Amino acid sequence: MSKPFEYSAPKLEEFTHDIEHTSRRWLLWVLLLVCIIGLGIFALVMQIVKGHVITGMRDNVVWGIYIVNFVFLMGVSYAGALLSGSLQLFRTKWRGPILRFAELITIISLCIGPLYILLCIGRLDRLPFLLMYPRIQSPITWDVIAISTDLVGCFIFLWMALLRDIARLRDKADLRVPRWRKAVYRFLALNYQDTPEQRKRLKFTKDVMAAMIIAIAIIVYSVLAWIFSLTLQPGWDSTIFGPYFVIAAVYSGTGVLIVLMAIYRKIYRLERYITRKHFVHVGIVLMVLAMFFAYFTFSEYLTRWYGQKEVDGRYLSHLYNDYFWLFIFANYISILAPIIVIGIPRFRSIKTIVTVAVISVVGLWLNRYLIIVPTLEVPYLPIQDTREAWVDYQGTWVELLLSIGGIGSVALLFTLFGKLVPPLDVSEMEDIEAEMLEKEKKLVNA
Amino acid sequence: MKTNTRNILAFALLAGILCGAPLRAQEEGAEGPAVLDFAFKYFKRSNGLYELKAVVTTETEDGYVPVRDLPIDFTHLTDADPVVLGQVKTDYDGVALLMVKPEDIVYRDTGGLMGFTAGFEGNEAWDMAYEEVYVKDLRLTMTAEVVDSVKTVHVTAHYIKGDGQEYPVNEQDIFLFKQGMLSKLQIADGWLVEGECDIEFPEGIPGDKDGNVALFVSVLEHPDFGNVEVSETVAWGVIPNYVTEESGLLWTTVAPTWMIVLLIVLLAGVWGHYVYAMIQMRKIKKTGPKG
Repeated sequence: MSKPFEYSAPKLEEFTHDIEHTSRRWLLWVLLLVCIIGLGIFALVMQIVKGHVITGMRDNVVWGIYIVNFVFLMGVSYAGALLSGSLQLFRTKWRGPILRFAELITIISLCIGPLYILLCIGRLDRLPFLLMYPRIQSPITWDVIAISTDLVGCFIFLWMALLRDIARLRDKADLRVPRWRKAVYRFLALNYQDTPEQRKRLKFTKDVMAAMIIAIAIIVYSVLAWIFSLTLQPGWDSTIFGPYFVIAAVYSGTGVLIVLMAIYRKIYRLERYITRKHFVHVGIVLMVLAMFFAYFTFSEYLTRWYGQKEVDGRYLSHLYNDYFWLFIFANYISILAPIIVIGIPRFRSIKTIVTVAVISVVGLWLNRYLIIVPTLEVPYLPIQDTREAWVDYQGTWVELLLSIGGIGSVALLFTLFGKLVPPLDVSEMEDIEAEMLEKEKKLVNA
Repeated sequence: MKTNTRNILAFALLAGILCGAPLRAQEEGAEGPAVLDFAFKYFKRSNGLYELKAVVTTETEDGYVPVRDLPIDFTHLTDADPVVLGQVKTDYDGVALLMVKPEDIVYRDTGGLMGFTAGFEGNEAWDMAYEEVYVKDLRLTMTAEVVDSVKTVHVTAHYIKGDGQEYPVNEQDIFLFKQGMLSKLQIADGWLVEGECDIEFPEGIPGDKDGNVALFVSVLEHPDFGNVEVSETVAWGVIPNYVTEESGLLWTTVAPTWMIVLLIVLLAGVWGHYVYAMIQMRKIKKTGPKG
């Protein structure tokens, strides 16, 4: 009888070396990331001193790369929440090595994403007005409430997910880490001793929170989509934007998850635990999502094109002519690549799956760009009395540096988390191993 | 080693796709004296002041962009040396604006033409630019009155010749405008005969809360007179009824009831679960063996 997975759980000791020791390579990597973030901070200072005039945003195209990054990172975050919640709730057999990545993606993207909103706001001093005088009717207010609610929920879920590993790190007498870090472990571990009662309570509460964050992720990303679709802008006034955004989010997040699996596998030498089978399984999820995404994309553009509203015609003409190659890459190549490569078993390898995941992620970022920028370049009323150069959006070095700074921040947070907890959910994987052995034993007995 | 090179190339390609297509750094202006696009306009305002306006732009790859901080010299031409009126620097939009008082006009030729110039003498970065404008001094007046129950705007238009005498403007279009929220809206026109004209004010024009309407009589882009305008505010407008009783709509101060209820239910449901989870975490802490 063939087993679905040859399963062996890692030992905590396999990762303690990386938690305890700081190599020169690690320090150099952190230094590089700090420099990248420093470049972003430099661009931010320039933006504050000189104003938003040094970005590509103008009166007509008021949203640019910042909002693209925000929407993209929020999507990745919700995808992480959906995936980790689903894997946890449905006890997927191959969830073990993937859970932690999905949880970290959720939290880290959720911490960095909203910062881009702050970068986009010209008058930050007016930001408190949003809380002081909120209008419940405004989707912006919904978004503020939704993101803060989601952030709290994800932090609670992450804490629960890390609790058992942290408790074990706390109890590891020979763990050579600074005293402050031991204090952090003690604080976060909450006197968890893995008693049957504690374990049962934690498992149940984690399931409740998993179900909760799946629901919240869907609601929150729909709210984000409604910020666009509740307007009358051509290209945004769509009834399917909610589900379209949710599918796009999970699609891009799954792509990021595959890329992250490959990076962690290489850095932490996890080849034993993250195997080709894991890549194939997540790859198949990516392929199915690509099909859903293709369906929504086709439906969206077909109805817009068929309606023949004058303004939609101008919008589509702008999209197909001025953004032709971006459109082809975002809506053809990045969809077809995972369907073809993962759909045909002969092509499935770790390298090909990671490659199509990268293509999907890039394609999905461009998809957001195409949703936001060309739409604003085609308003209902013709753009008049403005400089020709301001009619169309062109991102500037400031936006580029701040985008790279954001990527650096995400990478830095992943790196720092790697110093605090093991890259794999060791306790969960041990549970899965025990479950598998139990099942196997039952089968043998039967 | 090979793998590393391939990885670097792949990364560079990815970065190129990500950044190259949608992004472009802002470019600096071209080197050497650049050619300026110079426009000079004359406008006689309601208050009798003459507005001289120079708009300076330059053509770049991104189209025409304003040129800031250029000193523009304005002069009034006479039969002798020009009289310097002043120097103004172009603003953020490339505009240099000078208001000239009537007493500063010292010369009109026999036909009544007044001459003004605006110019930039040039520097290392920008080529010199210069324009002249010749206009006749048009004196427009408007009187709003009700004649036989008809709201009428009576307009007179005369221009001054070199001898200082006023001569009527004949056979000339004249336009009546109303101040709108963003710009002026033409509501009627008339035909000047022997320097006079009556324009009927159309009914049903909305005014402010007191019915006031700001009216303008203008001559626009005229080859002899340039742009001239007079204005007066009259209470001939329709008072709009802004008071509407609406409730439970998206644009009212208070959100619709269903929305408030839904939001409360959703938030209570979600945050209730969070509180439950935190209570469970606390119980986990309590139920752990002591020590």
